[in-house]
Amino acid sequence: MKRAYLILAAIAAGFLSGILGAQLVHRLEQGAQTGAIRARRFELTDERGRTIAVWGTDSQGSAVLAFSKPRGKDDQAAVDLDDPRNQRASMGVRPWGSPWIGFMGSDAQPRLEISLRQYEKPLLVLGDQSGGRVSLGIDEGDAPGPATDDWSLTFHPEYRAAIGMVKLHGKGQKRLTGFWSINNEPMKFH
Amino acid sequence: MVVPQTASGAPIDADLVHSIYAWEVIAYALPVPWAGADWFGMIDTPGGASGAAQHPQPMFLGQRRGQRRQAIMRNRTQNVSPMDAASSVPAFAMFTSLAAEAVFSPWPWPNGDAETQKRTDLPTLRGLLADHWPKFPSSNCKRAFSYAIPNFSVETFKNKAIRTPVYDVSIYGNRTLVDVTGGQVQDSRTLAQFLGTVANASTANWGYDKRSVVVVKHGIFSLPSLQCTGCLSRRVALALHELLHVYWGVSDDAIFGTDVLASSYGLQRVHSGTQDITWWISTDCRYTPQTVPSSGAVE
Repeated sequence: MKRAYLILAAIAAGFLSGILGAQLVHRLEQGAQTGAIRARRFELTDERGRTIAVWGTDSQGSAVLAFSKPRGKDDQAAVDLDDPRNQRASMGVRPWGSPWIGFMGSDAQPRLEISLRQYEKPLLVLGDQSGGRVSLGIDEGDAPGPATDDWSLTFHPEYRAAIGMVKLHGKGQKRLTGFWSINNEPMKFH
Repeated sequence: MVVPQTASGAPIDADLVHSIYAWEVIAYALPVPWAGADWFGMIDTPGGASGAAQHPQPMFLGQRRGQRRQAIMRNRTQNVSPMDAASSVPAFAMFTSLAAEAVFSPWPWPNGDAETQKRTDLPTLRGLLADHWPKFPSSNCKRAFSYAIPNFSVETFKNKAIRTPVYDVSIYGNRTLVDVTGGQVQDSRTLAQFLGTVANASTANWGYDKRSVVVVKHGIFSLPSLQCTGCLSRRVALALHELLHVYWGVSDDAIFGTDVLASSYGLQRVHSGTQDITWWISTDCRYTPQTVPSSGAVE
C-alpha cells in the first residue's frame, strides 16, 4: 500500500514538473521571439570589473542611464552611481516625469543641463564651479505657474545680460514683446 | 434641545466643546508666531497643488475668529446628526492635538518637518521684514496692494508673513516640497531641484490658507540695494515680493497684468520679469527703475 502511494506521488510530481517545464520553455521561447530582456538594472564594467555605467533607478527614484568619472588604474574605490553627484554624464526621467540630460564637473557642480522644468517647458543651463552662468529657455521667475511664458537667453548671476521675449498686459490684452538688457557695471564676484 | 451625539450614540460632553473653545481663544491670544494661525481653516480646507494662480479672499483675522466661534457655537446649540457629530469629533480632536503641539513646539507646523522644527534659525518672511513692519502701514506699497488685492489687510498680510518660512537651498536643498509643505504639495522634487541652478528665489503652494514656502539661493538677501531716498533695502523688497506671491496667490505675470499697478503705481516691465517687481517694490511701489545696481558681492 505504502509503495502504491509513493508511486502515485512520483507520477503526480512528474506530471506537475512536466507542466512547469513546458510553461518555462514556452515563456523563454516567447522572450526570444520578441527580443525582450527584462531586468531592474544593467551595469557596464571596465576590464578590471569596476562599474563605469549603469542603466537603472538611482537613489532619487529617477530612471537613469549614468556614466561615472574616469578612473585611474589603481583606483579600486567603488563609485556609487546611484548617487546623482557621482553621475558624470546622465540622462533619464525624474520621478515626477521631467526628462533631462546632464553633464557634471568633477566638483559635482552641473556644467550643462537640459531639462523640462515645471509645466513641461524646457531650459538649457550652462555653468561652472560657481553655478549657472548662461540659461536659454523658459524664465520661470520666482513664481512659476502654468501661464508663465517668458523666454530668454540670460547671463548670470544677477541678470548681467539678457535677451528674450515677455508677455505684456494692459487693458485686458496680452501681447508679446521683445526685450534686451545689459548691466555693464562691474560686479564683485567670488 | 437635542444633545449632540457621536456616531456610536454617546453624547458629546458640552464641557468638551467649551474647553475646545477655550483652547481656540488661548491659541489666538498667545503672543507667538502661530497665534491666530488658521488651523481652523486648514481643518476645513483641503490642500491644493502648487502653482495654479488663485485669487484667495483673505479675511480679517477678526472675521475668521468670529466665523469659527459661530461655527463652534452652532455645534453646541443646533441639532446635530450622528454623521455630523462623527465628523466634528475628529476635527475637534485634531484641533486639540494641534493646539497642544503648538503650545509645546517651537515650530508652528505640526507634522511638517521634524528636522526643521528643531532649527530655530529658520527665518520667516516676517523675520526678514521685522524692521519694516512699523513703516509698512503708511507706505505707498501698502496703498498699492490695497488697491490691487481683493480684501487686502495689513493684519492678514502680516499673518501670512509669520507663517511663511524661507528655506536657504544651501542648507535645505535636499528637503522635498512634499515635506516642507506638510504634504499639501504632492511633489517629490528637492528644494534644490525646485529652485534650479539659475533662479534666485522661488515660491510654492501659494494662497493665504496654504502652507506656502519660499526657497532662496544662499546670500540672496545680502545683494546690493537700490540707492535712492526712501527706497527699501533689497532684503525688504525681495521679502515683500515673495510675500505678495504667497499671500495673493498669483504669478509675476498676473502682477504685471494688474492695471491699477501699472497705471497708478508705476509698475513696468523693463527687464526680464521678476527683477522688475523687486526693484519696483524697492522704490516703495512708485516707479520701476530703468537701471539696477550692480556693486556688492555675490556668494
